Amino acid sequence: MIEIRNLSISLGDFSLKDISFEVKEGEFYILFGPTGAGKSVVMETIAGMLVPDKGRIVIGGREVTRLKPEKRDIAICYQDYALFPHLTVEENIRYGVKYKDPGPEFFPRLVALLGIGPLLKRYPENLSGGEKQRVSLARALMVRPGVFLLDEPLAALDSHIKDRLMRDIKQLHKEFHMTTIMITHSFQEAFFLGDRGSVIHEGRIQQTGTMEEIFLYPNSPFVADFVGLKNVFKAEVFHHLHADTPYIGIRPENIRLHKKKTPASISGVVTDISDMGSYFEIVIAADMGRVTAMTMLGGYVREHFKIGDQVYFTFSARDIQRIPDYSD
Amino acid sequence: MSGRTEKLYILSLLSGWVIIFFVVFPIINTFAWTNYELVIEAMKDPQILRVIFRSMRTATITTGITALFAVPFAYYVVRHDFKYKKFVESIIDIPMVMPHTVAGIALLTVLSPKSFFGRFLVANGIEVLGTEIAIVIAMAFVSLPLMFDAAKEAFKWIPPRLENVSRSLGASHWSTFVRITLPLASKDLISGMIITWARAISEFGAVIMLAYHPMIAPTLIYERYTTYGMTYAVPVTVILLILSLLIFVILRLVSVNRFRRGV
Repeated sequence: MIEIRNLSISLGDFSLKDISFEVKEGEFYILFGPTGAGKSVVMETIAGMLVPDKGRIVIGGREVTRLKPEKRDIAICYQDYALFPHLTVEENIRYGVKYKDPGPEFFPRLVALLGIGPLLKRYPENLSGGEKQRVSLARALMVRPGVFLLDEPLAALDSHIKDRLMRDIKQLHKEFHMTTIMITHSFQEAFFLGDRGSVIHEGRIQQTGTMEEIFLYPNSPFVADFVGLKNVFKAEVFHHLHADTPYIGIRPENIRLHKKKTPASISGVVTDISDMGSYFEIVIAADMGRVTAMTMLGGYVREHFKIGDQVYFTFSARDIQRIPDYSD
Repeated sequence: MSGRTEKLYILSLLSGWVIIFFVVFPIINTFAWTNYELVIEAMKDPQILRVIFRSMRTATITTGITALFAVPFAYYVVRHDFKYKKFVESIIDIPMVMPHTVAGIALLTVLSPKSFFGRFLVANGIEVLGTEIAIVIAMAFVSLPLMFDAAKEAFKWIPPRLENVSRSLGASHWSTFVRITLPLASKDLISGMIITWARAISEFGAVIMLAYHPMIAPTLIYERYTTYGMTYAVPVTVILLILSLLIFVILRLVSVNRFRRGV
């Protein structure tokens, strides 16, 4: 188990403020937030590359806050792989065996699991991005770390390679049950891999919980926006039951958009259209404010929305989410 | 581009020819000027051989000493940010902008028996001026910045993340330095050492201030030129020139660090 208590650190203009969370044995924990939120600083502090100004880090019941990186029983994988360029793939993977030997049968097992057998004699410069990340995962797992740290391991990869590697990471976690902390800014990765996690923003934890809790019940407008709940409005409370609800939110996928006026629809003008691959994001200027709707490719082609179009949208009352504001 | 001549490129190319001619012509001319019988004679002359070996020996010792101090400090400077870092780096580069005779005089003010430190040396029976120690001191003073800058460049491109990963896998700071940092920096460090060696062996101005005798090759060339003229100066020059070109070729061969691409 990992316990992070009131971690604070100042680095020039940036500071991490009072970070606390716990990761249970064998759990897959996600730290997510936008770029520059402080996720990597948390990670490097856990790994021992940075020493906190305040707070405690306990790994497996042992306080490691001021221990050197090599004494912490952790292993780290970076987004840019950080493979040793002068060593072959096999030498890279076996690098840590000198300090912590997992036994002779572990290496072939790991190589088979990650499907990197044919790469063993190559040098990193002759590997693709996906192959490099597999080698980097194997190298970290080879020392059977107590804590496995993944710093945006999929961020630099193409989407089809990313999907496969994401499944591989899930499989490895199932196989070895290593306590894992992963940084990501992708909610898709977080949802697919994570058991629990924390959203970090501007050096503070905004919300901690299971992935479902964070996704379904964001505790602040920031988290709501971050998990894709793009339409957040300040609420006017008419009913005393929900008097603690300062904001409401509606997911873009729950906004139904038409060119023809329908009963109880709200009108607006299309101000922006973004092609997101398999769907389109359409931004509408309406009296209630800026509304983002999502339409699948079929609907988009059928209705043929253009910037400047007068459009009408509706949403169901049950799709309205209440958003408290616990961020301060 | 094809079928069109750009005037700017033609001018740029012309200036290139001027530069190449400026460098190559004197070198070729030196070989052309030479009476090779005198070169062979010079190579058999024990005094000349002694002087050339002394030059090589003192340059090698200088390189070793400068590397011993410059490499660790360069590693520290590259890996840390501290107050006045730029200032400290500039201090080490000062000898590069000093005229060499000025460097010699500056060293003399420290080592001369009239100075405090010089008196201390004399009182303890340590003779420096006019010895190989003085030659090494003068060579080190002018070539140290080259070693320091080369070492900084050698470490700068190595991402600290490689060291972080190594340590997270259980290697100590020392082990990480030996297994990761040093092998990745070694090619650049070796080319830095060769440049330092080349700089040291060619030093003249600072050396003659501290030690005209025992003579090193540049001093011998100067003395032969002023005493006997070109004919007797050129054979020693040719030997030193061949030596320098040899070093240059070795430098070109070792200075390709293929791992830079892999990171």
